[in-house]
Amino acid sequence: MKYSIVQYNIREAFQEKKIPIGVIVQSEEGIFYKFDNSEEKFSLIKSSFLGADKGTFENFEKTFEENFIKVDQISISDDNGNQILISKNDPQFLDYLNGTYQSTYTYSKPTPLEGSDPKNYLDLIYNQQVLHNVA
Amino acid sequence: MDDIYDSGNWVQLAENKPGVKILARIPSGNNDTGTAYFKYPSSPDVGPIAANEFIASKLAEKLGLPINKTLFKEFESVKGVLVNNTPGEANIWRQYPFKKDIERTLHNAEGLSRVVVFDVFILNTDRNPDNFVYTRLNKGKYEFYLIDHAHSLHGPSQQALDYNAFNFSSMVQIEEFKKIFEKGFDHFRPHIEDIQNIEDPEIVDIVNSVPSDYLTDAQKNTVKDLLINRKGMLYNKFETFCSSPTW
Repeated sequence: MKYSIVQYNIREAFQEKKIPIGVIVQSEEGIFYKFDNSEEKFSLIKSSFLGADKGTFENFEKTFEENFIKVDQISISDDNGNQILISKNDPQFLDYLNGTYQSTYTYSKPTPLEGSDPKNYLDLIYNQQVLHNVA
Repeated sequence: MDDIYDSGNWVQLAENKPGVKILARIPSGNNDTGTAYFKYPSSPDVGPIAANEFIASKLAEKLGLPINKTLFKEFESVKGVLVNNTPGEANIWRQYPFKKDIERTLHNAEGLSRVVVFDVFILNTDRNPDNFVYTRLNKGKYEFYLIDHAHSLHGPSQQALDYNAFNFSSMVQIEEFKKIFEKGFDHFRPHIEDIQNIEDPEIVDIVNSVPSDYLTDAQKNTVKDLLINRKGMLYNKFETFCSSPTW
């Protein structure tokens, strides 16, 4: 079992600020995720970056599901431009997200978890790292 | 030749992945701050990616396609290409939230078919939903622009280049692009003509403007042949494929 934090990246004034907006837990039982698309979270992002797009932020969970959860496989390209098929069931799924998506919305390097209750961990990590933390 | 190089001072803001760094510009004179992607060959196998990016950007500019300014740059003794970021938030097409309402929400939606023709012209086999970007114009309106042409044109060094290759499935990967083919060949015709109106000497000049550090003479000849040959073949290839598109 492991998890990644989904972060909104703000890059300006010679620094990179990451605002956590969600958690994805991958376990043998499947993928579990929780995103904060609240007005408060968007205001926090907007306070650091005026150009933030609300439409993309509000729909992030929907597009995440459409892109990665509701499909059997997606095609991404590696550094050499070769196409690779990945699936949410792949043990390296979170590593692929971390390595592939490095722009506005990013996925942190997966952190291992020991235990057997992914939903419990999801809530715990979400409360600790998304609701109450700005990295 | 100077204007093909970026002479600004930059610092590294973040390491993206092998072959890509995110840089921030130190303000000086009329230059303000800003960020850019610095792309460089992470291994000899990836080929002349900086030259591919530069040539593709020059051709896109000539055709009026939205693309960020792309210049050669040496950063920390590594030769690569600097792709300036568009101010504001840019997101990959995979995340575009309004795909069912493109005509209304995407300001330059009519330009999508021009992108298709352009990609086939430059033999871009890497236009997936992560290599196509949108940014917000104003409330409820967005516009697209083009990124990442490293794997077009000459492609990787090891690749046996076949510039007669017209495998539409490899060059048209985005679902919304495939749907354009339902409109038929006539929809693409004016964009093919735009490309065919680029004179051969203009293509030669663009390719020859690449410094020899980034592209050897032999590689330049390959790219010139590729572009001039494909330009001449576009019309027939599109007409044939559009008569019975199969993915």
